[in-house]
Amino acid sequence: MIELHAISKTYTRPSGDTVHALSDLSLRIDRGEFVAIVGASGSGKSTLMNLLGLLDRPTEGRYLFDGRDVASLDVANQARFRNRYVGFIFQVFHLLPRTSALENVELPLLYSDRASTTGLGRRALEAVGLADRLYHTPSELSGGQQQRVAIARALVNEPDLLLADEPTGNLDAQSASEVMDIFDALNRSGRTVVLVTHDLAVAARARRVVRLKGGRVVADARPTEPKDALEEVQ
Amino acid sequence: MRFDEAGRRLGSSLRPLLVHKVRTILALSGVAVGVAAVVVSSAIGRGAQQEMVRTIERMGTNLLIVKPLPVKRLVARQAVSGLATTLRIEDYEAIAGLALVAAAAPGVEGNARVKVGTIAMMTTVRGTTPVFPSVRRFQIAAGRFFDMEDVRRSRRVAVLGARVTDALFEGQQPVGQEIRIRGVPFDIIGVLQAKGTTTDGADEDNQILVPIRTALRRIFNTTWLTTVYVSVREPARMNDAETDIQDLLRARHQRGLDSRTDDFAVQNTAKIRSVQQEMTESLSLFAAGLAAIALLVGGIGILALMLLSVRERTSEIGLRMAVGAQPRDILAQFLVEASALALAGWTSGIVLGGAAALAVALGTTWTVGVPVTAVLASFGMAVIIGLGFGALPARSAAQIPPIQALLRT
Ligand SMILES: Nc1ncnc2c1ncn2[C@@H]1O[C@H](COP(=O)(O)OP(=O)(O)O)[C@@H](O)[C@H]1O
Ligand SMILES: [Mg+2]
Repeated sequence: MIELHAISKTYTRPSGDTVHALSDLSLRIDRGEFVAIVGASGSGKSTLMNLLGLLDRPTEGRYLFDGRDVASLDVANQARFRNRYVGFIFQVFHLLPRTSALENVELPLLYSDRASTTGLGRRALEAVGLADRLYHTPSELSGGQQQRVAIARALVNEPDLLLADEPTGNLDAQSASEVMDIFDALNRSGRTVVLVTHDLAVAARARRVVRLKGGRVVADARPTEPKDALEEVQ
Repeated sequence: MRFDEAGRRLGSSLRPLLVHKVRTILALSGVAVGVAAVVVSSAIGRGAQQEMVRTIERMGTNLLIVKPLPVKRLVARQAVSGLATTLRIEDYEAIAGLALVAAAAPGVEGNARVKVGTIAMMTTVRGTTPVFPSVRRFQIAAGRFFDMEDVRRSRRVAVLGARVTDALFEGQQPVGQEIRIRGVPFDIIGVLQAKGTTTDGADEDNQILVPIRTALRRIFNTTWLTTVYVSVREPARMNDAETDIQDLLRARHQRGLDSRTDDFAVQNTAKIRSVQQEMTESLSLFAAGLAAIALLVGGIGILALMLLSVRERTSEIGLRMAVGAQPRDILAQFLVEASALALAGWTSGIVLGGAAALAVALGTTWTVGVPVTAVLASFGMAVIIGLGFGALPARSAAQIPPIQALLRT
């Protein structure tokens, strides 16, 4: 589904010096995979996620999604692509304040060209176990619940790809485990999940672990048992 | 886009305005004041316009008024009120004979104490001829006006102005009764319809009209006139008629052709009106300028609020882009927000201005109406301001790259 060919991303700091966040990175992710991206802080994990989700463009290299070169789409079509194929989950939730869980979840539907969107928001919230919190605003929800709202928002448009950048980074162990249960279930029902984490317990639940270092892939393990994958990349 | 979705988008654009009520009200108050200024100034402008139309209806578009000038060095004859005593009945007759003059009415007037039974009052008594009502556009409310026979025979008959009638008779029928003017008894033969106060404050209803010869001999005991009212045949030739009268009187009074030595003056109502017109126009131009400034200030208020709103919600913009909003969606969202602000300002401005116009209408005799054009024009301006001043922040919001917007807090 995803093919990255020799991707580089170079940032130029205001001071003038350049940072190679990703260099010559190639990666292939197939439909239905559950991939954890690990690596030290600054190794380029977020940059990779942003490129995968077309929030940013690579400086060099090609990004094929289902065989289509999507990195070179124009701004409007990239937005359409994000809306239709990608669901984002962020470490800091990014929910609209003073706005009900349901309305937050329905946000992507505002920009969708679907014929009918009735009931989708409600169903997405039910899928993350928040059927009884439809009209709560973010400030009335716990961190774990907020992240589940954010997951519902990522799900609402039924995307092929879920991208989660440190989704459990702001959660306690209990909530983190609940969130991971949801990702597990989503992946089992056929969705491709890519998540960034530096929590090994979280990474241990993925089927494949990719380790980045200095903007390159330094280890990539996809054995049958998730736990072994983690050991292998270590 | 489906209807319910359009509604939801609108809702999600407008929510921030409701959250920050105080600053929303501050931002829209500029537009409100501007729109109110437009409404009030155009309502008052229209009132002034209507007032002028009423004046024209009252005075006619073809009236010239000849008056003697105050002359200090005139020692040949004792001047009763310091006015030149050279304007005579013969002058009036000569003026009436001019080709451009349709009709002329002489006038000799002064204040006099009048009395009916035990009620007395001061009023203006004016001697004139039967053409006076048509030249000065008076209607008879009851009875009749005096005729040439009354003038020739110097009859003691009087026609009362509406205010005098009200003051002396309090709803009773005055025609056929007797009134004493400076002690001389007159028969009341008619009553004039009310005209109301003129723009210069003179009350034309506070007068009593008597035949000219009666006034000259029995009331004022003079031989000279204080006014000649002239009705010109064609309103377009007012200035020609004015010149003709000046030439005629200068020749008759033998005082030379220089206007500085004139012992009379001709008031041209057309000129007075055009001056009034200019004043009204420059006044409404001034008001329009004020309104424009207020609207500009309002626009800047909207601009400031929108810049603030975009800056505060950069990460929200990023999120919306991450879930699929295109730049044009973001642009539309902020334009809708700015337009809503401007329209809310417009609505409050219309209400405010309407209330102020109503207050003016209640406080004056003017008929004040808010012109539809002002309502529509100010609506147009509000929309243009909303879109114009909202465009800059909206554009800058739409052009932020999604990832940068998301990371900014
Ligand atoms: N917008 C940016 N401008 C400049 N440098 C950046 C920017 N974003 C990331 N970087 C740099 O790129 C490198 C990779 O960052 P990132 O992908 O965020 O790492 P990670 O998510 O693995 O911690 C880091 O050195 C970081 O400082
Ligand atoms: Mg990161």
